[in-house]
Amino acid sequence: MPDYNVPVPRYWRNIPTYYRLTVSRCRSCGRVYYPPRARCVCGSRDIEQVSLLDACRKFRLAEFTVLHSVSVDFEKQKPLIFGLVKCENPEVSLVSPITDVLNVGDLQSGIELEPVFRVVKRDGSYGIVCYGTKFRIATREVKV
Amino acid sequence: MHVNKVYVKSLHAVTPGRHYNKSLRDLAAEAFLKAWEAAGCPNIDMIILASAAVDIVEEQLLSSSYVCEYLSLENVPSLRIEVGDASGTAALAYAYNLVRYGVCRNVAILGVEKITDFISVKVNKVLSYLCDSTYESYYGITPAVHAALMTKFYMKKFNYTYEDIAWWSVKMHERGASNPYASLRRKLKIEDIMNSEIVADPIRLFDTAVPVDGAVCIILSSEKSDLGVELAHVEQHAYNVSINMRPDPARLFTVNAAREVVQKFSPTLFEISDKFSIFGILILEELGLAEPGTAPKLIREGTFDPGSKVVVNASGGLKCIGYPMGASGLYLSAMLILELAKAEPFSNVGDHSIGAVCDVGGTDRLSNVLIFRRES
Amino acid sequence: MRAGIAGWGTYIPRFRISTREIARVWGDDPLRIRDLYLIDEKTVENYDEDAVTMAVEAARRALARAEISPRDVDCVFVGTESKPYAVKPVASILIDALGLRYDVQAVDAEFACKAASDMMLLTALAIEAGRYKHGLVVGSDASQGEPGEHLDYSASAGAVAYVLTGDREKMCAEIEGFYSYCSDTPDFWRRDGSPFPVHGEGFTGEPAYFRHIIAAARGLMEKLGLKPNDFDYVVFHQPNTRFPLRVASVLGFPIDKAKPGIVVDRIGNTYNASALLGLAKVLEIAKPGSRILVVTYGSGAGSNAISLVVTDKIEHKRELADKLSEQLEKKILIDYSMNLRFRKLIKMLHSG
Repeated sequence: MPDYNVPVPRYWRNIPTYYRLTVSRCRSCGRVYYPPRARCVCGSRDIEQVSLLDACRKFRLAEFTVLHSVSVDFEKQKPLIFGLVKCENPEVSLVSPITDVLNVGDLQSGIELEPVFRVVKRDGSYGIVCYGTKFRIATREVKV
Repeated sequence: MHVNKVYVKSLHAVTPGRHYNKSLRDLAAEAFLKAWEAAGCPNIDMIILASAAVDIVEEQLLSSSYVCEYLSLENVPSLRIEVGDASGTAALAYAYNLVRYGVCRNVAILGVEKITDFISVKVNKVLSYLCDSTYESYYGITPAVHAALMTKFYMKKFNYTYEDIAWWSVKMHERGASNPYASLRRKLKIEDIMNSEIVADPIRLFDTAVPVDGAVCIILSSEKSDLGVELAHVEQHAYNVSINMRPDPARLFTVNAAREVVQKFSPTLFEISDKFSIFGILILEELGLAEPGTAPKLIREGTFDPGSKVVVNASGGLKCIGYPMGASGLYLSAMLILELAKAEPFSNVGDHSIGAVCDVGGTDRLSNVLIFRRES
Repeated sequence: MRAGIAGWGTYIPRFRISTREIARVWGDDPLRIRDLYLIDEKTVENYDEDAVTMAVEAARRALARAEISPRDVDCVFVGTESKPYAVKPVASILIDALGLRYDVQAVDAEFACKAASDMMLLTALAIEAGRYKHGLVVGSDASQGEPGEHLDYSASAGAVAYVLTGDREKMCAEIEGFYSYCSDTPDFWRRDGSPFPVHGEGFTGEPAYFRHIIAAARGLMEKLGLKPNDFDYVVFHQPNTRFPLRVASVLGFPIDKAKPGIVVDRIGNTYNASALLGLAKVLEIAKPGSRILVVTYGSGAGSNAISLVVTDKIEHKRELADKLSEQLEKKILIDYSMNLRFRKLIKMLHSG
């Protein structure tokens, strides 16, 4: 077999979160969790998975950092930008990669973002292409 | 119920660094054997190996058993404790209870890390496992990203500049320059910190603690020793919540939870985990040693310098010791014990009878506070 | 029942390179290059973009305009010639990325730059036959052009998606008819495992592009009994700006009917998305009742000519997703070295 590293079943299981940014929402009290949880702090185990792409219309950048000292899988993508992204409804924040930025000066706290489907990493020459959800500066302001 | 007092029988710390010519077993053996011999080679009931990444770097499971074989401790039971970079203090806490409740008489806690077998980008990948592997490391997030966001939020909250934060490192390097247990033994000027390479803005290289190899052994015992230091109390707190779910990313909630205990014991000597400068700053504030928003100012003014009423990181902290990941907290503990015992090179620290170690696992997912007391 | 478009979605990368910058690197005269292709800038996919990611983004916008639930889509077809996998479909990734049902027909098709339009027509046929209610078709390419070669000035990246429907209430443009014309004409090809396509330069023109487009367009007009005068807009495949304008003139269309559908001058040749992005650009301005002729072209070679008539639902649809006109403006110009980096043309020991 040619060399590949990413365990495929693990990637496959996570497709809903990677492609559609699913979060856990407690049907009992409404709390929202990312990363997902099996049980709510309220004690309820009645948890549904909700895609933020469906549920949330507006994302804002709360804070961000530019990571220069990256790990080996991202050596050819440096620097990486990560932001604390706030979703207003449901109210939840995520630390997510920010893409399509050449000039970091274009980013400011409070700026509106849009989720985009992107390649996260390519597993060498023979393994799978790992996709996921990143954010970038919104093409247009969303009117809510 | 009868409980034993728990004493530090002996310790040995190998100076951390890039020990390319030594294996993990060599480092572990050096630390253990020197500590053991210093204690008079007592019967060891249990070896607890503390390491964050031994399985990943060495591709070795059952590592504690193989270390024992190397030491010809053929029949000594062992286990490994892993809670990321707080493994060392977690192992101490576990051993404390074994001795305290009479399960063991002598327990050797052996912190080891052999990270420099990996190149830097692979080290970064190992570090990223401290973050959520599926939801964070997958996207390339490392602890430096968390620390950078924490630093930015903190700076914004209290209107600090990056330079105010960078002073932490200057002050640590003042202390660590003369510490033989430090891997980075150099005084640095504020310009050196501020001009060092950017890791994750605003964090620069000297605001981090550099991953190094290390091995340190502390033997806890129910019997007194010449060191005259007792492990008086252990306090473990958790906040198993990712940074994005926290009410305030610029807080260390698990450290705050140990505040009462610190007030009760009133330690005057501290060794705290400053794996990133922001952690050092926040620990001071969360433990109540500084009012919220004042730590950068106080540390810069020398409030916690050696010789002061309350001394913090006389060793130079992890900035100078380096960051032997899972062994970090054991190094801090070893430094504190030597300081309490007024052993060299810490004779200038002052006369302190109670000290505390504060170690943080991951981004405030858990913390261990250990109170050490010098026998009067 | 006739099928038509319920929604369209466009996606082009934000990064652009000017043909002037490319000419600088290769020592070409930028004015002569501009005169040759009439291309000012072309899109460059970011390092983390490929035919799949752009397809997802275009499809999300098309679904938003179609105002249907992803669960109501019965088929997902992708036309591309730049799949990141030699074996493994793009269409199945779309299913999970878009939240479609699993009991859908899904396949990728390849006929150089023409396959997406074929999939539109097959979907329309299935809808007209009553087999599908709604179908999703995407054309997406992050096309390869060998550095320093003609294609370096034009081959670019982009995607377009259409949701087709048989429901008049949802339809913003009805497919009135189509006509296909294909033959074995090897004007442009890429052998299996080869990183870049090769082409026959001038041979891509008369016997290939022009012959097939003209035959398909004339065939359709004859079939429908329509004349150039009956069309308000004409959109052709756009390997450069000269070819579509010239073919319009050969077919007897005034240049003003061809210009609104030109996208290549600002984004380059997006292959499967090319003419269909031109159609999307026209849909952003067309009035109810407008008749549009679209003729796609795929090397190797063949054309589909499609006639569409815009309905009164068109105005309402436009604002339901961001428009190509906005995407065209939201750009970041890069230099040639960044272009090489993003397109992974720097030889490295290991990728990632």
